[in-house]
Amino acid sequence: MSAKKRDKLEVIHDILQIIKQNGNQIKPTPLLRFSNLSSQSFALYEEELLEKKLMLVQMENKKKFYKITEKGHRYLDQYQMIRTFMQDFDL
Amino acid sequence: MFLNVPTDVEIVLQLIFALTVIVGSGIIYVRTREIYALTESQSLKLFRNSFLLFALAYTIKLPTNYFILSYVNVTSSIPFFILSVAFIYFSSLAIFYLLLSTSYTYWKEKKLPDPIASIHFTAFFVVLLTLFDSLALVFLVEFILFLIVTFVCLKSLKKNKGKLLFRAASNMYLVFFMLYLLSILLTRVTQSELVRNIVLLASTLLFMEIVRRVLKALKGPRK
Repeated sequence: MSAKKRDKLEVIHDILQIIKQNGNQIKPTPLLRFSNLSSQSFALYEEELLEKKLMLVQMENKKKFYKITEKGHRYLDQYQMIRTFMQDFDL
Repeated sequence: MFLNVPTDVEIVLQLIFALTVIVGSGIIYVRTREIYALTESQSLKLFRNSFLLFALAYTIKLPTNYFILSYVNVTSSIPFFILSVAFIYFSSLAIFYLLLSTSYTYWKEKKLPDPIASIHFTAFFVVLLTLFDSLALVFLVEFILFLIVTFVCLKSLKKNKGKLLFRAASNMYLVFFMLYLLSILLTRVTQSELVRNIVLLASTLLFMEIVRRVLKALKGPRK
């Protein structure tokens, strides 16, 4: 049986959750691996998350890291409510 | 425009409905600000804007009751005419936005052309029609609109398989839209104040139920 396809809200939640579980700092390669996305999909989500200011990119010793922003933390905290709301109103 | 002049009871009910819509829409718009800031979802934007338009439409409608209550010859009053036209435009737009919010994701997934411009055009068309006295024409267009809306809602029903009639938001909107059409038509076709009042009362209760459900959903998942 195939796993149920994740919707956009869920993928965003999963990406942010992975960053959080890694002490709010993760490199692109492990994030791509843990998020179970193709590199094309990941690139789209990366762009969206940065654009929506849910996460940010930080350079440390010439290495790229992703971090969750304050808005991203709020998204994680309110994820269940967001989900319920979007489902209840068919959004 | 041919209209049955409403009685005082009907005007009071219209005022209650208008105030319910204005206050309820304001509450929904403010309370969904955070969830929109977090998701920046286009369907949620349509959802919120529809309530903003509802509030605008019924704020515009409030003075028309004053015109009627002050026994001005309403049909020949230019301000009354302008307010009525603006009300029909914004309220039609609000309902279309609300219905579109339930199918916007599907619309985008299928890469269909952006429907916003068509919605504005349709609302403008509805306004043009109300300028004619032809009842048959108004019936025809509203029936076509009803078919379109039913199609959209049936799509959504498939998505909401197993949900009870009013558990699915789109069903609730469909009934609200039907009541809206009825309220427009009834002012032209029936002399029965009772029927018109029942429709107004049902619309008020349904709108209150929408507000209640929004507030409940914003509290988070059911335990």
